[in-house]
Amino acid sequence: MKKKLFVVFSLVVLASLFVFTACNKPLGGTNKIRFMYWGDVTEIEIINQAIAEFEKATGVKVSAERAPSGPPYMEKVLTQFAGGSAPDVLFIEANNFKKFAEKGVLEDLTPYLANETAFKKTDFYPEIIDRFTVENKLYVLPRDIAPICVMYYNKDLFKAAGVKPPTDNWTWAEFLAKAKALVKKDAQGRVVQFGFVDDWPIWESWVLSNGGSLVDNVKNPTKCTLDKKAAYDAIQFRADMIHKYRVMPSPSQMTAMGGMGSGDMFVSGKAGMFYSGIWKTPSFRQIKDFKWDVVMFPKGPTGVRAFSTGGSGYAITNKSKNKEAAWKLVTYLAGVKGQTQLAQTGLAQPAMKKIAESPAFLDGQDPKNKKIVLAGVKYVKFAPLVSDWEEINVSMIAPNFDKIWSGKATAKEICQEIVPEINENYFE
Amino acid sequence: MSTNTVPVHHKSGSHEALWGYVFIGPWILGMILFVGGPIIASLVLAFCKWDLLTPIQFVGFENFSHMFGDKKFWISLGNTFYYTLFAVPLGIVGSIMVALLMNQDWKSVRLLRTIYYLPSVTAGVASAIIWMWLFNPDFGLINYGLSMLGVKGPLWLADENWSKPALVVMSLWGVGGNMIIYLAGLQGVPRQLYEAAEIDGAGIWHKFRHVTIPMLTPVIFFNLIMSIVWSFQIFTQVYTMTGGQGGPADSTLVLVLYIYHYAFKYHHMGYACALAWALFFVIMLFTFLQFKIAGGWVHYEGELKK
Repeated sequence: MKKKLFVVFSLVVLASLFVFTACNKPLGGTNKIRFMYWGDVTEIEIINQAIAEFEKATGVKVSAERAPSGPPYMEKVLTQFAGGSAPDVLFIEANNFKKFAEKGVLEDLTPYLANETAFKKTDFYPEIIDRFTVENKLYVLPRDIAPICVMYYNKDLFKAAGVKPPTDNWTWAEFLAKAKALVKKDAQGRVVQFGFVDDWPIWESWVLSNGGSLVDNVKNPTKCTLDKKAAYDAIQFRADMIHKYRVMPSPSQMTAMGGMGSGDMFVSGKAGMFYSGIWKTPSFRQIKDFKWDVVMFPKGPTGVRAFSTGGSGYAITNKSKNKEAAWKLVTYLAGVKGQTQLAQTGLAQPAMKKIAESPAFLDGQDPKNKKIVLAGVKYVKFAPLVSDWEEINVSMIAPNFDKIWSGKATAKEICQEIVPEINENYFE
Repeated sequence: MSTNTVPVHHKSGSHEALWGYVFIGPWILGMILFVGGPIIASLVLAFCKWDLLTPIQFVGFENFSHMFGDKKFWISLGNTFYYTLFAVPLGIVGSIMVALLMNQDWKSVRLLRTIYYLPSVTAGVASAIIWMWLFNPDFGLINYGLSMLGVKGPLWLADENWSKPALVVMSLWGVGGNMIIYLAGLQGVPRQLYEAAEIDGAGIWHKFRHVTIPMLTPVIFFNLIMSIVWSFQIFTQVYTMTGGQGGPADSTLVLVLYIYHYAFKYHHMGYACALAWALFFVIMLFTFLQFKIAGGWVHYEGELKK
């Protein structure tokens, strides 16, 4: 009896296993393509519209899946690759695409672009094309480039403090003087209005504009160079803004803001200047309480102009069964129309130079001084082109830099401590 | 099975067995489909290198030997131990105390029991966010309470020396879940034992010390094992409160978060699986040791003292 039951039970298990595996067939077929992306509400609208038009024009069905940006997106995409159900088209970011490119899972888009009639390679900013090209193969068709050179400033706070608004030609020293003048304290000496905040610790731009670098060669790094004076002095400068000049909140003061991000601090008038990329535009346009504008990130002490950058675009997986249709979709998303619509939202700077310079992007809306991002492209420096950069950042740099930002250690100590370790583990 | 058990009526016995299988069926199915496979796969992967994109390569014991020289692995293990060492005893003492309070004959005791139990059924992420607010250095309720006593509260989650204690304090939030088990244990203590103790002239403390506690030891033992197993796997609170980083300065980098980093941030699946198995063996070892020393302090009714 027991035996019988056991047999029945095993059969049930086997049958259900079979059912499960049968349902698990990857979506393929000839007239269906899968597309993965991340994005905010405005982007989703553009993408859905592009997809609807694409479906109508080609008769190909698209199933679009959205994931939250950053690590969750990467998790989802990589898990799909691992499970053998990679999407045909995926949205990809300039600072982490190397991982995909060097593993040989992306299609070389060079021939597709060569045969394209609607636009050509030279329409795009060469900087972003160069970034997405590895060993003469272009793996990603760029959608946008995002120089992190945008210093948002609260005009009303400047006026109230009697500080002259900044100009695009300003330097670190002028920046610091203005930041100091914007600080307000309460009776107990607690800072209630800061001079400056950044979107997240964007220490790289200070290093770069101080003539320093993160690695010896961005495209082919052989060692980390944060242990050089130009690099750690610049990192110390950001730390000094917190502890020495007290123009910027410390990590614990940020915590005390009660989960308020630094962007919210700018919006609520608790910080006079906010450093980020142009993508904050749509949300800052909601500001009713004060006037604001943007200027170029300041030049370093020796006159160097440089900053980090973002950028993104669309790639096709080389296992896709429907590459022609996939390319068509890519041209719908990152083509002239897609980029024009993107420009109109104010969210991002189109990767096609002509569109970025057109009224679609420079539409006279806030920020009035938006053209700085066009000039900014010349000075952008991408993150080191190694697929482990995210890992180096999360495991080695961020936790150790925490000690610099909290004032427990100097930038020089930390950099000289971690650089040999980084080199040993990742570059040798 | 001893030889002198009462023979069960055969038919009803098999009938009962059938129902037994029906009831455990869904769980067994789930186990085989969603847990069994991954367990075997992760054991295989622990001896391999895999980045999710390129084919899997066998590397033997490389992942395990790498672990010994991996500074961060030891940091994360240390953080996990620290949390366990403080959170588990505190949790046990706390939940016994609450259970004793909830075992009184008050009018609204049922409502209070429910209130105490509620946090256990609240989603981990939601309660972590509530606690982030409680720990807020300037506006948080905890530091406000401390300031009423004239104490300047620490920065909690923003300070590497206070971030782990903050996690321990937060773990007390879960005492209600274990309280239920202790309540059942308390109500299972025979009344006549207390009566006998009273006749012998025992006061409240003596009754607690010599009747309640010994009778509760099996429950405490069960709870101790489970709490240690759970506390070694702390993840949700840390992930939520530190933005997935385990900061500041790795002070809250616990082992499961470290596994998560390797699996989903750095995409070294093999190493992540090896770490997961290392955690499994650590938990195994602790559980085994506890069973070893349990005989000395756990008191089962009806067992013969040798």
